[in-house]
Amino acid sequence: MSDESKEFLIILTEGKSDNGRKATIAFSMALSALAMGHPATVFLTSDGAVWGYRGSARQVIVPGFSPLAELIQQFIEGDGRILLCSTCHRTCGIGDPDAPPTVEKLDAAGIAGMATILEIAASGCTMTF
Amino acid sequence: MVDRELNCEGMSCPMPIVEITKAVRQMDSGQTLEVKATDLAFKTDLEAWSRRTKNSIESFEAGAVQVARIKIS
Repeated sequence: MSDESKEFLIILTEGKSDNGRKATIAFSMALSALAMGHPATVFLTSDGAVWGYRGSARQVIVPGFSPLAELIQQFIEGDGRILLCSTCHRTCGIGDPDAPPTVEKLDAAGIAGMATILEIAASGCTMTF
Repeated sequence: MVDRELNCEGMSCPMPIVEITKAVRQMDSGQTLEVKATDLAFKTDLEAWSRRTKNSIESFEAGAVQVARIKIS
């Protein structure tokens, strides 16, 4: 793959325990990749899966950065791709892991498994937060 | 001659570059964009962005408010 089309994969595993600091930096980095002309994907997994649901980024503001919800919205509008870990989506929702999730996923967030992520990682550049 | 002005004063990284990208998409080759920004990393970010996007920095004025003129490729 040429440098021109190299995809940036940003893996976000941090949830709200740091008050959205790593998520804010991850989405800032992803937004920068789009601005630089690179395709970019943010993979939400582990505790980071929380950001794949509606309302989770509301009022999350890290001093010096744009609000997280705004960063995510701009990333989506810039054709950035958000992928939500399929296992996390099934098990990290509220209630019985075998029951359908009771929280509402972002419309723009796709569901992906590990093979999909590994395929992207193998052909691009990966950063983890 | 400046074809479009963009005020990014008060914006932090990466928003100036994001806003420049949006503006450039609405402009034509050969036009000039003037950007004012206060972010501390603006100069180095703009240089990296220019190398990547093949647009050129015609001029850059340092200061509390940095002013860059970008020629659209």
